[in-house]
Amino acid sequence: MTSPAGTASVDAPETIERGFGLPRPRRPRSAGSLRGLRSRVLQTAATLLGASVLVWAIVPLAPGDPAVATLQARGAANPPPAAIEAVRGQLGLDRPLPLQYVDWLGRALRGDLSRSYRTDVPVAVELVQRLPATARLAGAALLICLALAIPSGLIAAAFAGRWPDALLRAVAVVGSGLPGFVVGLLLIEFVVVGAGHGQALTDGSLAQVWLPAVSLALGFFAILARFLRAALLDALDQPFAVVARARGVSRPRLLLRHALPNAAVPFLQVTGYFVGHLLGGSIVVELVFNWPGLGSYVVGAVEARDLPAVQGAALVFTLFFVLSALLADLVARAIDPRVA
Amino acid sequence: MRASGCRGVRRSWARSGSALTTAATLVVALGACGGSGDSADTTATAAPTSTVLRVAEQDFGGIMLDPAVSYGVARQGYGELLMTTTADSRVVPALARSVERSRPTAWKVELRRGVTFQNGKAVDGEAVAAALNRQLSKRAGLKDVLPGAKIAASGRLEVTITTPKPDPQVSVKLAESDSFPVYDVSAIEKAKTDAGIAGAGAFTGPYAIKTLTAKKMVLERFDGYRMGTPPLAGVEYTFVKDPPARLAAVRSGQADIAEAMNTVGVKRAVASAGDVLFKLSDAPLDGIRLYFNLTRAPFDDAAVRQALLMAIDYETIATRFFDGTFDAPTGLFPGTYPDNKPTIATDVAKARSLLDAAGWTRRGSGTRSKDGKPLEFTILTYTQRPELKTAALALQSELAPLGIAIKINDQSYDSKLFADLAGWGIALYVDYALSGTGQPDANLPNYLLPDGFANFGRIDDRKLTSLLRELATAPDDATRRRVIGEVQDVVITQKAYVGVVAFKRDGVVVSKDWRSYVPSVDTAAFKVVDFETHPG
Repeated sequence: MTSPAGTASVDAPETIERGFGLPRPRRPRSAGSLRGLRSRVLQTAATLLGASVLVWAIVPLAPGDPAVATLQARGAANPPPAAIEAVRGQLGLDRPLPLQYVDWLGRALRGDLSRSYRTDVPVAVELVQRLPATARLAGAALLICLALAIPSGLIAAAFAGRWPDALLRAVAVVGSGLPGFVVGLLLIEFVVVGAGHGQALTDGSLAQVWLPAVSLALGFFAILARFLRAALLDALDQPFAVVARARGVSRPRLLLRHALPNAAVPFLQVTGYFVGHLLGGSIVVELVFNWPGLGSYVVGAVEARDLPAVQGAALVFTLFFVLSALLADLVARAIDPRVA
Repeated sequence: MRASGCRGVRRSWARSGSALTTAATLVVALGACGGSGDSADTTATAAPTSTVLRVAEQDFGGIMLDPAVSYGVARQGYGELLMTTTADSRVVPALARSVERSRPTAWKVELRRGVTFQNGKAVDGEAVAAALNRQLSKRAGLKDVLPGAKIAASGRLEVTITTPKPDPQVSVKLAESDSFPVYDVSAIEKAKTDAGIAGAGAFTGPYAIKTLTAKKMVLERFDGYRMGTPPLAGVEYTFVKDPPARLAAVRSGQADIAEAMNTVGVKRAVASAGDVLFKLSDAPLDGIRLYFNLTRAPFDDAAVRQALLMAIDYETIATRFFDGTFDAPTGLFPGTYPDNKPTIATDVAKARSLLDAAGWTRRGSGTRSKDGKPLEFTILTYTQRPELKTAALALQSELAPLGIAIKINDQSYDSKLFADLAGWGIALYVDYALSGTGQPDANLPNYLLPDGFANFGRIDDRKLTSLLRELATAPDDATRRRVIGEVQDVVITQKAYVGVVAFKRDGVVVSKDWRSYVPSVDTAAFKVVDFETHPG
């Protein structure tokens, strides 16, 4: 990986002493920036459209009749054929699938995500009700991730090749290999049931977010920590770091004032992509803790072949993924205009 | 047909565990049965407490409250039916004082005096007729249950149901768990949304819905309940999708009862945890029915079908494969049903000789064959009911020593899979052990008549069809019972058209404070909460 500071001039110690090891940022040209932004927006729209086509193509391929699944989701164990036919007509499932998709897309473009097959409530309303809980969970998990990953990455880089680095590597391997739901089940068994702390059934509030957030964060923090370590070591190999070391800058100062800001840009971009993954990872963790967010919603929707609900949730997940990546890119550009 | 209101005796007995309480309950309840019945009935139960029962309930992704589209209204303590079914399959009055046949084509429903909806409106003839008519017109498929029926108030506390043809089963149909709950139609229609219905007091049960969200439903005591003050201050349902999460909720003290826990392994998990209890319902609700594909070899031969039913060790399946949480069948219906005929029994030696006689012979320890074709087939199951895969695995292991080779095809449920008769030899399907009414009548045509929607194996038997037509118009109970007996003879003993692998009881996990709780199967549906539910 090439550090954005890789071209920093060794003849400009004042630049190094300013702390960031970067030349004075210049404002990006607004026309180019606008073009870039327009291109990203178009990419986002194309991604959303592609995701919607995929969902409509894949979900109906799964075996199972949506009308039966809908009735079963409403509590009818063995719905009779007359009820199944009636529901099929009510939901418009008797029309060809492409027609259903075009109808859905037309309404979606007007902001109407259709009604859930199971509950007959507008999907947009259900998503809005559940989105804050998922956002809280992902936000808290991200905070925990960063709070653990940044110190861990710094320690691993500072003691590269020594026992703290080896220990953190081992933690990373175990952490990234341990699925969030396993961590969740262990936390419930030993922390909630065993020690009597926290809740097995959570209500979506900030007060109860920490156990699910820890379950979600553990796998991701380890990967982020390893990434930060690599970026820091890369920065420490750059000429500006060599010069700084030659000028007698202490190792902690070198790491914190010089290497970290240089490693921040790629780290930030990767973190942006991880936000999307956090949302995806939240699906199973939400089930384990009964967290009332989008994850448990989408699992029920898939089980019941509730196509509008699956589609709505998929759009939200895709949008979050794309937007978080976009946001990370924009922040990275703001820090270092050469990123573009 | 007339039944008197002795409701309440059985479960109080089962739950209290105290001889004194039981005796007192019995005396008071019997007194109520023999009384005039002119007023709202009362029965002895626990004194009102401040306890709120917390239930970790299944999550279907959002509960619907309008009875025209929702199912199991009588299940959670807020709704009621005119009639109900006891665990021993007696259909008895619930909200109705009596339901009797006044003419061959007319039934008179007499209502209890002084009963109100939770919002204070009277439960009178007009209100009940409005609810039943709305169900008939709005609920999908219900017109087939009472075809051409006219329902009207015939007195202040009386409703008359008139059918175009004599229908001996009207009172039983009123006990159908999903069909005819009684509710305040104007309140439901005015509320429009589920959140609105939640606070409308539109039902008659002992607990009224106070609030409803996607993850929680809160019920509070209905002080004006017809049988007296309910024992609990309220009931709080938390909807939890994941069964282990429901179990964890009880173990961590967040819930008192975890619902729908009769899945393989839960009983053992509970036993090893030691801090909670596993409880089974007092009667089975579902049956794992075994359908033979009659259109193809080897099951186009009745002898092979009979041999296979005899070769299954039902007791082992129930006790070992299902941890004793299922009942071994002795016939087409559960043992709790009084007219169940013992027609199913394990006899491996006879099964062997039947197969030999049918030409399916075996050399050494290989697979049996006939005319060069091996005795092998596929068992079709569906993933929505994991118990089916367990049952299929049990059959596979039990029938292998007899030289029968089985493949298992476990797929997400799709009626097309069952319709594809080239794809399976045996299909396993979870169905009501009896039917939604607690009686077998409504369900038998579904899987035994040629046009029945669950007649997967293509049964087309003149005698059976004639018997089922006779059952549909049986003029009296004696005729009905005789016909049901003959149906069992044909279906199992003579032709072995279908079998039963096991009957499933519902299972719950309870905290030690609720050790006496027994899941009830009133209305042929597992009832979480009713008037008699109390801690202890």
